[in-house]
Amino acid sequence: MVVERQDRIGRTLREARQERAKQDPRGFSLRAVAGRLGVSATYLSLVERGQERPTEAFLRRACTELGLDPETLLPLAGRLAADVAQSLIERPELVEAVRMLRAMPEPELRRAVRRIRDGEW
Amino acid sequence: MDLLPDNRLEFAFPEIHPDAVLQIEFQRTLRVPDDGQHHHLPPGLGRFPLRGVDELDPERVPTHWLRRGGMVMPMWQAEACWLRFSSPAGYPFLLKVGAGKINAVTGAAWRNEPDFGNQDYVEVPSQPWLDGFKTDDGTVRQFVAMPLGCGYTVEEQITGEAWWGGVQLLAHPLKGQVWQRRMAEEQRRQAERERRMAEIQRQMAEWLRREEADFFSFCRLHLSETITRECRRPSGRGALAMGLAPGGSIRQEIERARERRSNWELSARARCFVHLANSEVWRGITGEAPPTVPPSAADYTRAGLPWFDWYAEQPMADPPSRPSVLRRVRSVCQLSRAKGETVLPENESFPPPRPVRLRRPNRAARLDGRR
Repeated sequence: MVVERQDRIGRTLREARQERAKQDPRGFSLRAVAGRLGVSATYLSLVERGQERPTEAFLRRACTELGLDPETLLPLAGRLAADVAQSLIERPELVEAVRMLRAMPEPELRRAVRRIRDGEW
Repeated sequence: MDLLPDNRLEFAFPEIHPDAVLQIEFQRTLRVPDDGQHHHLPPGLGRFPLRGVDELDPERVPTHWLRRGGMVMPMWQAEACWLRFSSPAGYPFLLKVGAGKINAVTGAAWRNEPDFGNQDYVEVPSQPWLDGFKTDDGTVRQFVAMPLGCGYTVEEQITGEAWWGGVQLLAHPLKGQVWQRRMAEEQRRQAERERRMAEIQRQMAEWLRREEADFFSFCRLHLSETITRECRRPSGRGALAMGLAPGGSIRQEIERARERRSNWELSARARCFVHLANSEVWRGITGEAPPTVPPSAADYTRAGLPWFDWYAEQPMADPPSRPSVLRRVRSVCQLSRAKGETVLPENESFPPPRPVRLRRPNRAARLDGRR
């Protein structure tokens, strides 16, 4: 299961990088992207092949670089965003809330989220 | 915040009280001429469609819209709108309205906290609608959509930036116990009050229904393409979005706030960012056609269709020592003349028609804390 998830993360990152490389082959080569992310090309290659479990900080930087949503990739890496982890520690009732929401049908969940979402503005 | 199937926004606070439900809708309307006259209230031509940002294909929606959440609404360039506020049970709400994060009542930069000293909000249901930016005591400058980046929106005129656009809404409900007490005191009066409120809405609906057939025969003016070409194409993130600019002047009073500060449940609030999409963007992100362009105010008036008047019982007045910054903003027409641009398709004046006077609910039959 863990390997499968790492494969998915790696594939997503690789596909996003290769998609951008079609427009800008040099700017989005493995080496160029690794350089901008402050890691070695070997590390990035291992992550892209699902052979390395990326850290939260690395995943966030990579997602920003490649225009991906880190919130969907972090759980695949078995990482809980630091602010989410902190919230669960501070308010344990949130754990129960997540369990309840888990069983909710998709449209109902979207509606519930829309009701409480404040937005960034 | 929820979106009802009939394109009304609903802010419900069931944890405060089952009656704590506020509904807000954006009404399509005529753009009043910007000719130095103070016009009567224009009619409502039906609700603008709304779509939840979270319901749209994220690939087609700008990332900053996704972050801000809320709703998307289509508007043609230079189209006008007004906002209607209601609460099914007459539950009082404190409501702040912004455009481009500029407060529509005071012209101040947006703050989430209400300013009780210098009233920067309206109270619902005593304020049933808002047609524009409050520029003077008893007048507003109509809300008119303009592309961000052209310099016309209130946001750009006040801050010099074309960053936010859209409309911002924030509501606080009355405290549940205050409502409960009032209910117990005035339950008998409520039925009468609701009947009166329904009567106001029925009066408007009746006028519209009667004249609708004539009215929509000249709705298809296809103005938008001309206008879009004549306004400089904005660049960057602004190109997608619209903001509200000040249009012609309308006689509309803002009711003075009457609720005590301590009556508001300030620990509970709901907010919504309503993004304004131009018609092409709306088509692109929803796959649906936007509503048709409304007729001109002059054509509407020539057809003998009604305008409206409504007066606040106790209008809010700006302190003479602190004139609103909104008095200094220039209307779309004034600014376009100064720039040598033509952004309004028409601005024809007409002799003022006799308006239909909308009545208020009976003073004794309200639950909004007025005496």
